Amino acid sequence: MPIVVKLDVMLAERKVRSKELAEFIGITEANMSLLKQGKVKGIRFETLASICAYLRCQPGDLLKFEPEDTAEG
Amino acid sequence: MPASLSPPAVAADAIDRPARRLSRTCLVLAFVLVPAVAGVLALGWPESLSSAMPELGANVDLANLPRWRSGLIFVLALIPALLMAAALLEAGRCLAAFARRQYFSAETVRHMRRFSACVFWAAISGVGVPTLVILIATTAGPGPATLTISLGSDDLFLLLFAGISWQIASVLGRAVALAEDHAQIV
Repeated sequence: MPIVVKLDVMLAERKVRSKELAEFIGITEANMSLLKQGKVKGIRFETLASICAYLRCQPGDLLKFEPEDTAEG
Repeated sequence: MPASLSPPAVAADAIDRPARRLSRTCLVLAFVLVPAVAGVLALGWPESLSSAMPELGANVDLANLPRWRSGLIFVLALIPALLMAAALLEAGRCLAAFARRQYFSAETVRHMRRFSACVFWAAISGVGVPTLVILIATTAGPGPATLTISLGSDDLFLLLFAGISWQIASVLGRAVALAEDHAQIV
C-alpha cells in the first residue's frame, strides 16, 4: 500500500496514548491498532478530522504517500 | 462516530420481526411437509397416487403392483416433498439469521444458495419423478410400455423462482464482500 500511516509517530510526538485517542474519536482500540499499523482499507474524513483536532496536526502529518517501488512492506 | 454496520433500530425491527415469523413458519412446514405427504399417500394408496397422476391410474392397475414396486414408487413420490422440505429448512435458517440481524454474512448467503439449489432440484424431480414412477409401474405388466415426460407451468415457475433466488443469493454474496470492505474503513 503506497499510503503509509504515521499516526504512531504523531502519538509519540504529542505524548498521547492510543486508548485516549480512540475514546475521543469513538472507535475501538482494536480499530485504532489496525489504523496505526496501516491495516485498514480506508479512513473516514470524520475520523481523520477528529484525530487532527485532538493531535493538533494536519492530515499530511498522519499520512504519507510512498510509491510502490520504494514503499517498505 | 463508531464504525458500525448496524442499521437504525426502527428499520431493523421492520425486518427482524417478520423474518422471525417467516422463519418459524418455514421450519414448521419443513418438518410437517414430508410426514403429511407420506400420510396422504399411504392412507389413500393407491387412489392417492392415481389422483395425483391420472395418466398412470388410467393405464396401470396400481392395486396389484408387486409390493417392492409399490414401495419404490412410494419412496420416489416423496422425493419432491423431501427437496421442498430441505428448501424450507434452508429458507428458515436464512430468515433466522436475518432475525438475528445478520443480514450480510457468509452464513445467509450459504443458506440462500442451498435454498435455491433445493428448489431447483425439487422442480427437476417434479418432472423426473412422475416419469420414473410411470417407468416402474408400466414395466410391471405385459405389453408395450409408454413413457411420458410432462413439463407443466408449475415446474417452469419453480425453475424460474430457483434461478431468481440464486441470483439474489449472488447479489447478497456481493453485499457481504462490500460489508467486509466497509468494516475495514475506520
